Amino acid sequence: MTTTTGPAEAAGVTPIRRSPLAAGHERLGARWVAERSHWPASYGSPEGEGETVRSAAGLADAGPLVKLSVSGPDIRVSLGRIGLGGEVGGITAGTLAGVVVDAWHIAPDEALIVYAPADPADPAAATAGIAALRAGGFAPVEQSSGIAALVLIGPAAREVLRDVVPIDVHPRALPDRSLASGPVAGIRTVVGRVDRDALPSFTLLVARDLAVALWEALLEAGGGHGLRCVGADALPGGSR
Amino acid sequence: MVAERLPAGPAERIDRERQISFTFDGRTIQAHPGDTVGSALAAAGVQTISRSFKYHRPRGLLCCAGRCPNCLVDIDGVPSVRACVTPARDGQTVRHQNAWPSLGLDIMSLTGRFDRFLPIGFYYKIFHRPRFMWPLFEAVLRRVAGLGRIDPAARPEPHVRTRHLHADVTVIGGGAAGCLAALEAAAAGARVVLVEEGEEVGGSWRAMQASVDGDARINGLPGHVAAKRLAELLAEHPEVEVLTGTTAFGVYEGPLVTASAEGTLFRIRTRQLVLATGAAEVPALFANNDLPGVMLGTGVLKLARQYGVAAGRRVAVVTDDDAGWAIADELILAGLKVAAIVDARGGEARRSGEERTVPTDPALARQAAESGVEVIIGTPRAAAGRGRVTALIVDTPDGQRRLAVDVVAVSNRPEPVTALLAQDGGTRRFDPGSQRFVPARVPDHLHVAGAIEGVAGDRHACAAGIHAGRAAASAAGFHNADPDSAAAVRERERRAVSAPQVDPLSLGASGKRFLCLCEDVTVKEVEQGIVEGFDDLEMMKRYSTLTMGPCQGKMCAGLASCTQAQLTGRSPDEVGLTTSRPPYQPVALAVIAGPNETPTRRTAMHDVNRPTTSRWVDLGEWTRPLIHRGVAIECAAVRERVGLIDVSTLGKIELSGPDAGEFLDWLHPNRFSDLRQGRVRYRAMLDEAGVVIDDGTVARLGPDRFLLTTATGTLDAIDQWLRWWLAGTDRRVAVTNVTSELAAMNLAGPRAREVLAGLTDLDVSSTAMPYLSAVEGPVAGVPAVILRIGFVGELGYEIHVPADYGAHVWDALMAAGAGHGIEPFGVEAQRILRLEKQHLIVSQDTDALSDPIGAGLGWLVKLDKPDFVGRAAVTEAIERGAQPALVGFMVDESTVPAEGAGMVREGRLIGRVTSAKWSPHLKRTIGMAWLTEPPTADGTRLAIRHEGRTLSATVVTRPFYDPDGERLRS
Repeated sequence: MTTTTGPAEAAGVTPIRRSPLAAGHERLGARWVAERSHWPASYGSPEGEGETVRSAAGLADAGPLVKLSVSGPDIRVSLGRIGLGGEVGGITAGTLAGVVVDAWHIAPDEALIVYAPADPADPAAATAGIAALRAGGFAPVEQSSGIAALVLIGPAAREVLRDVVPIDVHPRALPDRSLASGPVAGIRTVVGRVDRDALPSFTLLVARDLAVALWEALLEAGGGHGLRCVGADALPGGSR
Repeated sequence: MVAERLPAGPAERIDRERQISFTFDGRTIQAHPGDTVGSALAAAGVQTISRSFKYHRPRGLLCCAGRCPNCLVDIDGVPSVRACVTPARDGQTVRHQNAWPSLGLDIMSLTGRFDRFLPIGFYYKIFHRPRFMWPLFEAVLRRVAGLGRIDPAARPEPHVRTRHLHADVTVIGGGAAGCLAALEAAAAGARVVLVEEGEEVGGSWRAMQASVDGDARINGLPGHVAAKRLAELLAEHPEVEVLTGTTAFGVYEGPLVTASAEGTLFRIRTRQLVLATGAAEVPALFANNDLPGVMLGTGVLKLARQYGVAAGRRVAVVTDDDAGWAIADELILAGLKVAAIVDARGGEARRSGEERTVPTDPALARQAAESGVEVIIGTPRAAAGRGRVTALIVDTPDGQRRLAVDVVAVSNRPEPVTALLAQDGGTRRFDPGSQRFVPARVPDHLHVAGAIEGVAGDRHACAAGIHAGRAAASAAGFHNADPDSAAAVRERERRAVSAPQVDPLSLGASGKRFLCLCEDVTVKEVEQGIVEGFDDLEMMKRYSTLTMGPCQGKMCAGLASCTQAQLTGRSPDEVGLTTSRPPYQPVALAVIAGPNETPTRRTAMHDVNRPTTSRWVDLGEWTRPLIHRGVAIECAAVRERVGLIDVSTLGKIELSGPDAGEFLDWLHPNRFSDLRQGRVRYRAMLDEAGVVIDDGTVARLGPDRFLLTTATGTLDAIDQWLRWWLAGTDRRVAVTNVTSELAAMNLAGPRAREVLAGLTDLDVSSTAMPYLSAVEGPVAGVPAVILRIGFVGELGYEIHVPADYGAHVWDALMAAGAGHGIEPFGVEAQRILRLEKQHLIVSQDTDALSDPIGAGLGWLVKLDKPDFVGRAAVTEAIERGAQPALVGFMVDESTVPAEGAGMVREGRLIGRVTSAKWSPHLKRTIGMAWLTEPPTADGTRLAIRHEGRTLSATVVTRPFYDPDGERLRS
């Protein structure tokens, strides 16, 4: 989709980007990461949320993030041309258009490039990344809206996850910067482990239509482990 | 009667300081926290807990380990709960089952008097005649059959969950062997899951006072202390997860172990499996062997040690093994009066003139003598008593003896618990020495350890556990263990255990000797079955229901084989065991089903639609607004002004690549490779049989880029269909599902253009953006794809935007349309509006046999293009003269016929209604029907069967509304 601004802005219609979980965050009193980007920076107590992350487990709606799907035979090898190659099941860090990105190698023919945009409210945030990928010979399809990213982080994160996934999330089976696909509480999800500040951290990629269902299932499963909602400000290293 | 508890002992589990109570058939039962329902009932002097399945004989506690059927009760409305392992809780309501009018006086117990009329397989033999009586027989049989009653009106909401565990080594059985296997495997670095069905690990040691031996970690400790020590060691290890109170009930390929605890299903994926399921006592075959008071020795001991309950005042221990002597010694230590040990060994030897020492361990004989226990070498003939044991009659070389006892503790040589081994593909053989079935061949990933091997003794159990744990860890890739040296120790300990001396099964004297306690199958009935030709055990099982009851053969599988062998003159090895299948232990169906994990999908506009939606509808996984302010209001808005509907649930797939057009040609009966960029075309997809499986649109957004939409419910199937046809070909096409990425809304109605124009600088005139055009550009400041199409038959724009902006664009359109009388409309209005246009819905107006000709889509089929999926079938349909079968109809009255109602012409059924609605705009009931008798001309009169009467209708072959499509193209 091409991006321009039209008479709508002139008419005072300013685009607002909303997380699939925005209504729930609003009820919890979230403060947004940006006025026109409705993802929670915090729920009113960044320090408390930080403590939750360090001592128990926090669940964050990470975003907005740019997500670009690239596919094709041996895509993991092809991405090596731009420094984003890797093994299937791995998460490779690199740069794209000058931005630090992660390449999630989901399947032999499928990868997802994920990064935090400079302006979280910019509807055209993916444009530079798409252009860079096209220049590299890829045909990216934007999935920034279509895939929600939830971050489960903290010492008890694995215990929370273990109760709802058939995937083996032991560090031996799912070490730092690796991923696995499978149902979480019955919801198709890609679970990636990207530790932050030595804290176990799992990023869960899920179709946005199912994000509320996953969020609620995780909160229910994590109640006994001290899981609480946290905003992006409580995440070491930010949203990505 | 309220029995006194025994003095407190070190291994007991009850809290004597506190009291709780529950009711049993209305009677208040006092208990202590830690009691089971069964132990509390025993402490309260309740002897009869249940009635047997067929003869309704009184039954009392037998195993106290959740293995037998004797204590099945209804607890708080849940039938067939095992009282002996269910914790007593304050306020529980416990009721007997399978007895009427009361447990003490059960009329159905008269069946025992007429058992000659209920021979083995009686249900195959009687009730056939007279035939007219069968309805009565059936009603009676249905009433008396089964155990317990489920309240069909109850709507339990079980709190169930499923946990997925992963292990390098899974150990089933938390006795000494299992615990040590787990510790050794963990010490080697393996992740270990230990599954123990009891509330604590330690196995038989938990109830033992005698000191144990076999490993430096527990040597010399009393059994119950050693059990606690093992639990502590396991708890200290971070990589060991101990699941107590959890029963492993199935082993599947993988290996995958399934286990259940209260409300939780565990699915344990493991690399190696250690079976340390031990060996368990089984009943002995003497007359009245089911009388309350006849118990397994370990059950009597468990009651005494763990719950401080004496099962009776005078105990006779019946055994054919040294294990029974050890049990007798423990019972005495626990405070019970053991009057006699009856050892059945030696009968065969005596008959052959051979001398045998009973017991083989002289220390056991010495202990018995010191305790003043009478030792009787003989065979139990019968238990005597009415309602409970008052005596045991024993055949001895010197004649018959009658022992006045109120408890008969049966403690024969325990039977290895091998059901899970068999489930996992292992085999079993009959060991003539121990007269028991023991493991023979085991799969590579499986290790057995402990009493399951048919070898008794602490030292062997410890050595076997250590070896199995190390071997399993090593096989799982953890090589810091030393399985070889452990193997040598294990072998040495195995040899050190004296060979068992057990006589072959004695079928004893006459009388009701129950082989299968669950199904009330006696030895005599099995004899009769064999006479009738059922000499194969599997056939006998089906004929008699032997091993098919709640215990699933735990009490009788080995006995059944030995009995069948003896009665047919074969060896038990030849007879074998019946097949072991999951579940090994009964599991609630709710636990197997697991929690309801059917997620709800919500569109990006879900929350902004909340305030205006009066009714929601679930369509597949999606929840959508069905009605906003009212169907008539919504329909009128679309027809007269403008309406907005959330259509995000449409499947959306992007195809890109140089071969995408050709690929779409292959998948459809019409062409797409010639579709111009910026244009949209209707699509209907066929399967190989020429059946219509989906429809939607294809928009060409670039030279090599197409956006395909599917019906809401077919997305996953079509996504897979595309990938399936792409796999293995050299077509350069990338398929990306963008359903979640794009929020979609349909702005429809005569004023739609004006509304859209206020939010975009695109030229939305009919010249620049005509019907079936596709344009990319901003709407409300958001990049959008706009398709000029109209499912509801008006000037319409299907607007696709990144879903994060869906709510924003929706709000902007509603705001921009406020001055034009815009209304949000829901699925119900959409269904009416599309029906007015006779736009079909695949799978509602078509079925699994509908071809495109019948569906009125013949215009779509282009036979002048290269091959496509379904071409042969469609060609054949055209050649045989297939005609459109889907037609519209208008009902003479306002009644709306049910979808599926029969269409009738001249008294013949000629089709069915596929859709029918009341049209507020036309003020008529309209619909579509699939007819089997084409051609059907406009104006043809038909009848519709509706709720027992006939509705008159007229065929209308063209759209009811705007038949020429002028409004759509405006």
